Order: sequence, then structure tokens, then C-alpha cells
Amino acid sequence: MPPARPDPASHPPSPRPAKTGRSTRGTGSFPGGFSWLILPPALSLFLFFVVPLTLVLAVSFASRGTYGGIEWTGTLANYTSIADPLYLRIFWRSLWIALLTTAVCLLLGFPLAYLIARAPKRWQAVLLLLIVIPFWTNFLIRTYAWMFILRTEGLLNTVLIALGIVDQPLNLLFTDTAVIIGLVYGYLPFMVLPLYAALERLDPSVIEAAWDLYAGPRKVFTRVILPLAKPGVVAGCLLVFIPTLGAYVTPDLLGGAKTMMIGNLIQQQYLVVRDWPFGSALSFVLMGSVLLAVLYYLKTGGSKSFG
Amino acid sequence: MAVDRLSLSIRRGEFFSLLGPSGSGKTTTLRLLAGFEQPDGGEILIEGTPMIGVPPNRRPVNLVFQNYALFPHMTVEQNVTFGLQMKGLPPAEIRPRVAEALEMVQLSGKLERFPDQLSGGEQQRVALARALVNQPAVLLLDEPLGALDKKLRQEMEVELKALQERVGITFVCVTHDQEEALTMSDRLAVLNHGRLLQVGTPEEVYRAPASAFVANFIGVSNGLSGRVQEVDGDSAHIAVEGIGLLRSPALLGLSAGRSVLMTIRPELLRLSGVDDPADGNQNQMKVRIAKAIYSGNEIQYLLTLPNNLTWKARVPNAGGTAKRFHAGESAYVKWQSGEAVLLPE
Amino acid sequence: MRRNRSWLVAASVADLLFLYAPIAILIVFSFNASKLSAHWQGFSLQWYAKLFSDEALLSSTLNSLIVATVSTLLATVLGVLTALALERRSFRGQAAFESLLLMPIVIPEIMMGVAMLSFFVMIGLPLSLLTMIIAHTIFNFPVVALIVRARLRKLDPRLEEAARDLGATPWHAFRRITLPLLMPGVIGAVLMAFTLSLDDFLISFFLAGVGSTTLPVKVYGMLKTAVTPEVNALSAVLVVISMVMVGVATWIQRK
Repeated sequence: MPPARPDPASHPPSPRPAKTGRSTRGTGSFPGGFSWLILPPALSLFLFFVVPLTLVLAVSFASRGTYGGIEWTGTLANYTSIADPLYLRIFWRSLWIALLTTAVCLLLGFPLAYLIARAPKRWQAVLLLLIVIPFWTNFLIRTYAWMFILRTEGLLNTVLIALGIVDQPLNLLFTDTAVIIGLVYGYLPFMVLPLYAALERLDPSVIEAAWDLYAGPRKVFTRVILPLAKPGVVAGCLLVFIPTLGAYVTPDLLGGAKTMMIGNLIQQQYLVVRDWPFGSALSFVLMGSVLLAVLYYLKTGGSKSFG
Repeated sequence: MAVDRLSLSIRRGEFFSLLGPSGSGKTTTLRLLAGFEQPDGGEILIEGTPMIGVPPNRRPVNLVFQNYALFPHMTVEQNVTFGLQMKGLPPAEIRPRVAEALEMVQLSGKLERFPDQLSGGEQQRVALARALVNQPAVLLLDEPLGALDKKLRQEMEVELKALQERVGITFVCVTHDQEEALTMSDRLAVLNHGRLLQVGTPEEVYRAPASAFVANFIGVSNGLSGRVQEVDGDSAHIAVEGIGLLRSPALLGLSAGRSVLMTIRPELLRLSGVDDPADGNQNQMKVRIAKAIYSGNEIQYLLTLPNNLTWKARVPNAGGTAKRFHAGESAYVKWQSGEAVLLPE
Repeated sequence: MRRNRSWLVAASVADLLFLYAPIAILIVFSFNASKLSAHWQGFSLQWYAKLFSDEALLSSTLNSLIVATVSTLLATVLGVLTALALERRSFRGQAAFESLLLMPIVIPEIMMGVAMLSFFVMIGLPLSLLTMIIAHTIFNFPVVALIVRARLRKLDPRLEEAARDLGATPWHAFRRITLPLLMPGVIGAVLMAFTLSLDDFLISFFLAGVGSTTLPVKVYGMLKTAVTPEVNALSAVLVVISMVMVGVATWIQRK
């Protein structure tokens, strides 16, 4: 069995070692000493981030009051009620949609990333910019664009009817498919960029070597390109999977009531049903899933085995 | 045009080098053989089989890349195994062949290592083993010794040649280092600007360069331009401005009045303090020593000729019998007229 | 691998079309005279006119701008301090802080919205532009910190040392050497933070109070209720603005 081997590229960004480039450290570049700088940011982060999150955790063990307030009972009821098939279905659907979106992004994004990585240097920056520009338009707008296209009286149906391909408008909006299209559309750049970074590092002569050693195109891809692009693949998948799992806007606008994901459920609990404890529990379960995914990344990115 | 109307025949089992400066088309020629480039016209035959349109993965040829191109995500053993796997051989057959190949390059102890854990020389040997294990009809090497330091390079020159003789496969090696080419090759070709200038054994190319470029590219060569005054059988008198008449061997079809370049290798020059005018077989010139450079095994002299050109002479330091000259001194440089090479201008 | 190129190029062109077509469609149809969006009935600017006379929309735009400006300012200060502290200082718990810094970016947005809402309600702070600004600052300053830090990393610390060796005080060295060289990175981060704040929906949605709706929240409301072609015009305007900002940000970052 070939040995596993650490992949330096996968470790999360770590602080630079104390030796390099820190000659001004502690030499009082700033009046006031070393901890003064970090105080405002650290304080803000603690007060307005850590405390709120802890609060949510605490609330998840409380109960909903009669008028939507919070009663501080210490209960696990919120977590156990998640086991209800109604909610489990939503979790399952969210997982499924997130995975599918990730897969589609990978399929669409890989050829694009590969092409950009192999393009002449001058073009690479331009192409990357092209990928990123749509991303900087407002997410709502981009989601709305698909509403416009997929609606019953939307563009796609209008065109299809005009061309005589269908008689009745197709019911494209408010389906799982529409949600996936919208999510893929929104998160494709997140897949392409890390893939590009990994593929760009690939030495082209290694590909030629494989070719010289009798490998056909498929073998070159599976035995050489893919393994070497693996860190990029994992990073890209993570960058798509995590936000997609907790998506709200896309399933809300493109999926309607039929396609409810975790994000929608949480929003509903908080702003409609006003069951904050339950909403908090749901949030933490979502967060837990995200953490699991990150841990999985660190684990698989942290060891390379090729059999 | 990278390669211009090149025509070349390489014999089975020989160590052949393509020699030339960068941009001479030698790497392109190699890649044409490997299948990574396609020619605009002409044909390529390997063991009689035409190779045009045949992709690299179907040619009986393997390439040792200049930067080795080892698969970074595979161990040494996996790298060497790759080609045989792609050919579809069963593992039981592959394992012993891989072991044998690694033993041949003396890397048996490093099977489990990864390329970035090896030194440059070790990486190169893996690349060699990875190519040789497939028993190709031709092994191509792209600047194999370029990345090695001088001492290692000289060792590897010998080792590589020995390897080739042991294995018996045709090696085609691309290099810009003429010492490498001369040491290792059975025959070599000199290229420049995509054109083939000369093909021959190292000795032929060194002793009888076909052009001034070859003469200067292979080793160092001193030259003098002149005009043929008279031809006398197989020798000629050349009139060199500022110097006088010098004897040299005659080219085929040489006639009086022709412009020629007379070249002589630095190690064929002898220096003497004594004016010893020519017998029929010697040429002599009075020179001034411009510089004397001690190089361990020899002394290199820069000589200023009567017409103010600079020549190089190399005198071996064998037991201190030869007189040592110093900068500023006058001396007489002599050589056997038959040892010069005449090139048309 | 050359013969596979055409297939790659085709797939990639398809991808790029996929990315740009929807936006292009929106812009094109924002000039559609028809109310029934998808049939082209002639060129018209009426929806743009309607857009610019919509009171509620304009006030929410103003809100967005206020929140974005103030939160970006705060985020920049905090972010630059953080970057400086992480890159030029060492302190205990630095690694932990660095991980914590990444959290607002990594965790799902909805989590942030939920947490902020709970917090403000709990401490009795009414939802207003202030709470919005606080929330935006928190999710923005790690981004600024990351960008500025990356830029700082490329800066040779010996430049500052050289300045001090030549007699500059630490503050002077920072102001005359470090800061100017850092500027392109800072400006890029500022633009990024500004855009992120303007664009933010989910967190603003959770924190929207009376009179403190931002533009994305208003747009969302429009999308959920009656969709008029006004939205197309709005989209077109926002798209153009975003592209301009990205263009400027990139151009500055290149320096």
C-alpha cells in the first residue's frame, strides 16, 4: 500500500514564522507597546461576534414563550424536535442540493479553470477578471435574472413557445432545478478560482511525460492532472458547499414554498413563527454541519494517498 | 523557422548527439522525434516505420526531460512503473523490471521516496530509469547534464555512455555543451539556426570542421584570413596581410586568388623564445604575450599577432620542461602547417 | 493534449456565456416598453423614470449609502490595525485570534444575522441604522484585515527600518513609508468592504427595522411582491455601478 504523505498546500494559512520579516516586532514602531494595536479589533470581535454567538447557543437551550419571547428553561427539546421527519426532510434536501450544486460547479468549472491555467500569461488575468465580474453584481439581482428567465411568462418560455417547441409554458420556476441553477450561477467563481490556482502550479512537462509514457488522454487526466489538482478541487468544493448549505435567498426566490432549505427554515422560525430557541438550535446544527465539512477538508487535504 | 530542411540518419545502437547553441533547433528536432511537434513536411522513420501523425504515447520512443518531469505525487517506484502500467503489463511482470531498472541506475534503496526528497542527480537517474524500463527503440535525452555541477557532470558523462553501451539502445542526446557531445557521442550533428551544419564522429568534427561556425563552436579555434597565393600539390601558400606567407594543407579544388580562413587549435601551437625559421613543414610568427593564465593542468596564453589579432595557445604544464612566458614578453609561435584546417570564406 | 483544446474552449465559452447571459438579458429588457416582461414591445426609458421617482427606493438607497460609508470607515480602521498587529507584532493567543478573525467570513451568513438580531434584542438596542452599521463593520473588517495583511506581507520591513536608521520616528516611518506603500491595498480593501456592505442582504434583512431598510432589503421586498419591469431597470443600474467599482478596484490593486 503506497504511503500517505502530507500535502503542504492544504494546511490552512498559518502565521508566518517568527523569524522572518518581523524585525520591527516589539521594537515600539508604534507608541504604546505591542498589545495596543490589537485591542480595538479584538474587543469588537469579542463583543459583537463571540458574545452574540454564545447567546444563540444559550437560547437554543431555552423555550419559546407564549408570545414569542424566551423562557430560560434548560432544555434539549429544541434539538430533539429536529428529529421530526418534517425537518429531517428539509435537512436532507439542503444537503442534497448543496452536494449537487457542488458537483455541477465542479463539472462546469474544471474545464474553464484548466483552460485559463493553460492560456498565455497575459490572457490569464483578463479571463479571471471576466469570471469574477458577474460575481460582483448584487446577488439578489443575479437571482432575479433567473426568475426573469424561468418564469411562466419569462424569457425562456416565451422563446420556446415562439419557436413552437412547446405549446404550454413549462413550469420551470419554483422547482429544485431552478434553485440549483441559481446556486450554481452564484457560486461558480468560487470553484473556478481555487481550481485555477492549483492547475496553474502544474508543470506542463509532467503532462508531456505522461503522454510520452504511453498514457492516453483519459489516463493522463485521472493519473496525473486530477491528483495534482486535488488541493484545488477540495478547496473549491468547500467554498461552494458551505455557503450553499445555508443558502436563503436562492431557495426563497427561485424555489418558493416547495423548496425549503435550512436557511429558509431558520428565517421562518426567527421572523415568522418567532420560535427563537428552535431557530437557534437549527442554526447550530447548520453550523455543526459546516464544521464537519471543514474538518473533512482538513483531513482529506492533509493526507495524499494514491493507490 | 525552428528547423530548416533537416535530413539526418541515426544508426541503431549509437550514441548520437545534437549539438548547437540555443535556438539552433536541436530541441525542436528532439520533440519531433518524440512526437510533441509535427513537421510541416518530410518524414520521420523509426526502425523503418513512418511516424508522422503518430502521437507520443504510441511511439517506441521515450524522452528524458530537461527538468526530469517526475510525477511529484508518485514515489520513485510508481514513477518508473507508470509507462509499463500504461502499456497494460501485469503487475507480476512489472515489478521485477522496475527493480532491475532502478538497480541499473543505482537507486534501489530509494523506491519509496518522493521526487522532492531526492537530489538533482538522483532525480535524473529516476527519469532515466523511468524511460529505459520501457525498452524503447530510441531514448531521447534533453540536455541531460545541464542541471548538474561541473564535477558531477563529468562523472555522469562517463556513466551515461557506459549505460548506453550496456543497454545497447540508441540514445539521441541534445546539448549545447560541446565537451559533453564530444565525450559521450559515437557521432554528433552540429546545428545552427535550424540548419544542419555537419555530421560526423567527434574526431571528424573537431579535426575537420566544415565551417567557421563549427570550428568555433567545437572547442576553441584560432583563425587568420588570407588569400591563396599558390597551390603546390596538397599544400598551399596563403598570404596573410601583416604577417606574410603561411603554409597550409590545400582544400579540394583550391585555386589561387581564393579567400580562405586558416584555423588552428590552441593546443597545437608551440611557443619558443628562439627564432627558428621555417623548415618546409612549420609555420612561425613573432608574437607578444598579452596574458598568461595559469589553469592548473595547463597555461593559456593570449598572444598578440603582428597584425594585432589575438590568438590563444594552450601549453600543458607537464613537469615544468616548457619555458614559461610572461605578459609583455616576445615569443615565437610555431605549428605544423599540416595541422591547420583551411575553410572557405 | 492539443487536439482536446477545441473541446475545452467550447466548454469554457459556454461557461462564460452562462455567466454573462442572464445579466445581459436583464439589461436589455430594462429598456422594454412592455409591462409583460418577456415580450419585446419597443424601446422605452419609462422604467428608469419610474425608478428615479420611487420615494421608498431612494430613501433605502440613502440608508445603504450611509451604512456602507460609516461601516467601511470603521472596518478599515479596525482592519488595518489588525493587519499591522498580526504582521508586525507577536502577542499571546495570536494563532487563536487569527482563526477567530476568519470566522465571520466562514460561517453561514444566516448565522451572523441570527446572532446579531438576538444580541441587539437581548441588550435592548432598537434596530436602527446604528445596529446595521455595527453588524456590517463586524463582517467587513476581517476582509479588510486579510487584504491589507497580504499587501503588508509583500512589503519589506527593512524599508521602515531604513527610514528609522535615517532618523525618522516610528510614527513618521509609518506615515511616510509604510502607509503610502500600503495605500493601493487599503483602497482595494475599502472598495471591497464598501461593495460588500452595499450588497449585503441576509444580515441586513434580519436587522431591518422601521426606517432602516437598506436597498437590497427593499429590492427583495419588490421581488417577493409585485415584480414590475422597474426591477429590471434597477438591476441594470446596479450592474453597471458594480462593474465600474470592480474595474476601479482592480485598476488600483494593480499598482
